[in-house]
Amino acid sequence: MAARIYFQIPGTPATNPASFPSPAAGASSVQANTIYQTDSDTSPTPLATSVSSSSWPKWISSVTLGLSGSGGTSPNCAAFSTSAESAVTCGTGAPPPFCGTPVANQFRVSEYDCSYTGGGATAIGQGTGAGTDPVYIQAVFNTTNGAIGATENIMAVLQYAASSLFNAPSDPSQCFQGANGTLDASNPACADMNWNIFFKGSPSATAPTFMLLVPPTTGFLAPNTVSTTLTSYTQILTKQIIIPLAANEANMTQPTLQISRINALNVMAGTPSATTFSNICTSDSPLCLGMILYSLTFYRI
Amino acid sequence: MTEMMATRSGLTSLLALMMGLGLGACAANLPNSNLYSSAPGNPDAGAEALLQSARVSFDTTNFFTLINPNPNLNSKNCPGGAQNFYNPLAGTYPALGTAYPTLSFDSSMTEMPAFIKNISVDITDSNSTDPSNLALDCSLFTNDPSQPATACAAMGNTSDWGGIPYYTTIDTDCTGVGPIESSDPYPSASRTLAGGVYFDIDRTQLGPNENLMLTLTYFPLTPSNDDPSGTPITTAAAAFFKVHLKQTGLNQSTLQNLSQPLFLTFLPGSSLYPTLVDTLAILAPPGGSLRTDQILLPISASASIDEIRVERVSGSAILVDATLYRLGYR
Repeated sequence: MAARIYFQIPGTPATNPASFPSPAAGASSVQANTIYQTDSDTSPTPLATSVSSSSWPKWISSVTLGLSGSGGTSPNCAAFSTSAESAVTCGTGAPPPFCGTPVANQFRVSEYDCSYTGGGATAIGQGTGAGTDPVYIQAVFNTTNGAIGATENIMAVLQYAASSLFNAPSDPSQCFQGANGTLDASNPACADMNWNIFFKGSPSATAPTFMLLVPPTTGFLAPNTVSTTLTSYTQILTKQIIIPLAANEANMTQPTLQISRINALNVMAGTPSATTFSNICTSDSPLCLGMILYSLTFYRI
Repeated sequence: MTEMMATRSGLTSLLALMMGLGLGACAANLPNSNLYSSAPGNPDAGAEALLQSARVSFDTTNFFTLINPNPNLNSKNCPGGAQNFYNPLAGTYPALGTAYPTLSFDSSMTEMPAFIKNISVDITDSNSTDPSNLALDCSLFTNDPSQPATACAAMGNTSDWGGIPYYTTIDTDCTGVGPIESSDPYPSASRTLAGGVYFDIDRTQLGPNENLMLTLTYFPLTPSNDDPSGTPITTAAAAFFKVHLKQTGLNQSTLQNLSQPLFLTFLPGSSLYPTLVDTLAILAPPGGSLRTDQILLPISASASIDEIRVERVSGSAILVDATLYRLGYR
């Protein structure tokens, strides 16, 4: 059994697969209402158009997106793209590289908009895997009433693009700046951006990191210090996430997969230089520093 | 025997064979040896049988080291074994998880799931003559001046980028260390096949058709990174690891008492400890970045598989943590 969620809202053309309704202005989250079969990645057959539908997979309770926190304080941070974002470029190359979102109505996270405090916006907080994280993808599974077998597990496959400004640090010790030299992947000197995957007992629960999603990114811009020409590109990749439901702890009443943005490079101020974040990225630039999320597919294994 | 003597000195090969047969280990002198197994008599056996997963962190506070070797294995005081095991599904970010309770009969270790016999790493500097080294008796190279202690595969070596307290493999320190004697200048075959992790499992605690999953967080070094001296990593020194599924048939006590480095006991091509699945996975990602990889372990392919070997073929890397999960009794 398999089912796929597309991180899109309805738009043009109308046949584009879209799993989420357009969120209300200022909404802190939005829940999927349409789920698809895996028979096509461009024109899939809908499985169900409502969570309450009898054809909605009983083993998937809900899929929800976190949208930058409540009150719309950073509305362009985690949002569905507009048509104008398909023309966003970054840097001063000739021509300047594309760094927006290729299609409209796509869920993307633009770090320039998550951190920039100019214009009255508020920088969003750091994620911890809790239910109160500002930016996340959350899937809740149902293991009651035989919805899924006791020895069954789930494989989730995330299709995404993650772009960083720079490649990984040449000095790996930058990732071990925690207490007594322990790992601190959230240190911006270790990675421009940090997303973690969590497997926990309920949507509101907390948990240790299950595994890292970012780093690594799927591409980086590698700005040239002379001309700010961006020399690299970001690929779309898939990440398989095997969720050990069969190792279900007794307190996992609603097993939950949560993919959370932890933090990202947010140095906006300081001495301007050709390669600083604020001189290269711009608003609505997930392919400068950020993520574009395409789909999440669930398989019972 | 002839093959082994051709790849290393005859003495070390013979010792490796003896260790494999349990003839070198003084098994009869191991205190509490039965209590470290899942057999009746282990007061923690009931609790350990319920544990479905475990995480270990490859750092000096969670593994036995040269200055903090395992105190309960006769007088050998071996380094390289996991000391603390964590529940990876309990606790909060950014912790490893919730530590399992301390063993009721051994306060130096926590409980571990019954399906895990042992987790150890290769250590190539247990013959260090530094006065702080308490693991000298656990080295196969003690009193062998032709084999100096190296940071090829070591934990908390202070020369590694200012002293990262994690398990690191440094390719340039592995010259002459690996099991293949070679004078080839580039690439040096003698640098290969030293270092890595051994996950030993108890198949009697798992279903016959049950599989496991391994999650590994690590920093593979590539030409995008610098070695500890600040020199860019060469292509030949880029991290290249393989995952194999092997058969050892060794009990927990023997595994925890093996002398270092472990790769000399488990030499390539050994008929004593055959490889049943060679190259299940290759871990050699480009980019030189911290990452986590999941590896499904199809141990149901053979009832004889009782070891997962993450083998350093070549290159440099920092290992951070690993988690083993059961995937359901079948």
